[in-house]
Amino acid sequence: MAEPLPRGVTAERMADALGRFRKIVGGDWVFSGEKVVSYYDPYTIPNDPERYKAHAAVAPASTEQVQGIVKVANELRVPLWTVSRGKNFAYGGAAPVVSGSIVLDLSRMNRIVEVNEKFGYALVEPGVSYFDLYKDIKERGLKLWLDVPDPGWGSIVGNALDHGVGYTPYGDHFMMQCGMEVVLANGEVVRTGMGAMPGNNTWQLFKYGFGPYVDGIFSQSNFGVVTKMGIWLMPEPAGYRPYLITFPREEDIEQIVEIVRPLRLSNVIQNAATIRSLVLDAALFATKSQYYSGEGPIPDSVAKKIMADQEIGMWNFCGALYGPPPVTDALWTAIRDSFAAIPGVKFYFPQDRKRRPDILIHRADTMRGIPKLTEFGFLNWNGGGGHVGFSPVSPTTGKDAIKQFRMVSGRVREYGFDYSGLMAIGFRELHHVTVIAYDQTNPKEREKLDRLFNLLVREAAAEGYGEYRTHIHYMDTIARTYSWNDNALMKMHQTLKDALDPNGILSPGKSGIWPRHLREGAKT
Amino acid sequence: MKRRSFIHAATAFLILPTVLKPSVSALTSGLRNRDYVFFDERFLKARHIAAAWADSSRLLGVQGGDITPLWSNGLDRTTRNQPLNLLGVTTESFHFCLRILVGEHADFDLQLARLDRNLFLWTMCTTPKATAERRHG
Repeated sequence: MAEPLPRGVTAERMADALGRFRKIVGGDWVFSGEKVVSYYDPYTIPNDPERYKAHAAVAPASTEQVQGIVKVANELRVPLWTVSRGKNFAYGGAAPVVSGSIVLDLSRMNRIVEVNEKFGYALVEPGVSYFDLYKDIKERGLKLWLDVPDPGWGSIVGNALDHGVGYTPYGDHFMMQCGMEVVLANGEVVRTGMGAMPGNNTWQLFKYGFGPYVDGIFSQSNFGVVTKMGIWLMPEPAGYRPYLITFPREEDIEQIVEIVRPLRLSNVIQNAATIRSLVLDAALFATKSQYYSGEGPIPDSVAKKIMADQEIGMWNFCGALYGPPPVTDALWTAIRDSFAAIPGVKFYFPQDRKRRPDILIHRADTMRGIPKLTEFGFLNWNGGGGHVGFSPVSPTTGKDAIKQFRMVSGRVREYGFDYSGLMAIGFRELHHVTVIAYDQTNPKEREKLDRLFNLLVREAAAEGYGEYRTHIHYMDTIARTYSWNDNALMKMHQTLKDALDPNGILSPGKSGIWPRHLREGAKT
Repeated sequence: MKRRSFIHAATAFLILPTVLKPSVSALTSGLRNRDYVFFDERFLKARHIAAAWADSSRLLGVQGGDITPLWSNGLDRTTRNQPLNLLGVTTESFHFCLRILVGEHADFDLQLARLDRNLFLWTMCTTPKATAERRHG
């Protein structure tokens, strides 16, 4: 199989780079030929098989080896595509935007450098997964909880850098990061915040240090390679009480969100709870054909059958209470009384759920930081496995929620898919994540999905809704929607890129940020 | 301080659904002992196919298509320690997750055929990679 070369890089120069990488990391840790297949996007969207294909991969074991690799890449002008563990499958996996790039695979850097129970933090390398840290904490009997996203095999560092979210009170992962070690494109190592002071012992305790707070420029970016990161961990609470509240009608979302906002702002709702749609929850444990054999989205009659079978609603609010019983009792009273105003609402605790498997029993694990892979069940809804996330952000208002729901669900259903979405509740915003499941094996369905996705982005942008995260195929598309004041933000990104990585070797095209020599449309 | 075995998936990996479609008979012919047979309990066809292997293999029912409990309760350790011959009649998510997880510890050969809209029949032969010590600072 012939791997592509990046534009402007000869086969001889690439071979030179790979040879020098082998000297740095050892021959076993440079991958080419058939081994590169594992860095392909398993759910690639375009039908062109040459898009997003890596030429090779290199897997360093240490910060020093990363330094050596970027120095060689800089000298030979060979593009690297950095991945922590490469498990970001709804957003491209380990695949690079620029075909022919060498994947800088950090999964070998899997040291848990420190777990501090007293202050509640861990310092980890990018190869550490949620499964790894969870196991480590359990084995050592520490009274700490992780916050996990839905797939437990992902990188703690990678997820925070990509602005991922989880479902405990520590659900905003980038908010909970504290202190980074970063290798810059010139090979220099920087420690951010208090880590910049020799002998300081608050690197993972205080985020800001002295001077500009720079950690943010290394998230969703291509300005450096993060090789260590601090992450705050939640002390095990004195009590834990997960709950499920179901609502029978799609239009209930407007009232639900109006009720949620003040409860969340005042921390009565303590965690990053989610309002999940019928199909998203049903798809975890059932397939579409078990209920419906027709074409297109499920009709209302089938939706009602699913609701009855699985004891779920058109919307399902999964939350949890954390703390000693007198506290959680008081919080629950406020939550229950607030939602009781919605006709047809039902309230459940785990002991009320008899069916197995069950959505609340499953989510109860996730909301206490137990890493799992259960959510991949939605891949089976249509049977073909493909999925992509469309993730605009809106204010936590009922008006915005119903407007977004109608915009997105209307288009998704018009294109023949089922609406499968959730609204994840931040402090003041909703992440409206719609998972579009499609048949990966059908080229026409992939084309249809691509048309739909581009339409969704345009229509959302026209209403002022921006995506917070996206698949590699849409990074330029999304970046272009953040265009206020003649693209001033992108111009600033490009200024930073040119200053920190003048040869453009780090992840070109990440988040729509291109090095100077690849700008203005000449990108492949 | 220990180092965990390095993560790298095997060659027959992500593009299999579109490039390898052997027939069902080709997948099952010539196979004798299977270490484990996974079947999705929700589907009659899966139960029937798995039953045919009951004498020579350990049958493992997959509840709700979820690999998490099986992986966490021993399959993780087993794939690290010994070669395995696996067969499955499962949905997409199970074999997708399995090949990602197994690929971290073992090289493997996966053969896959789609039975119907929901189910895939697959075989997987795994060989553990050389283990390195996990680093722990």
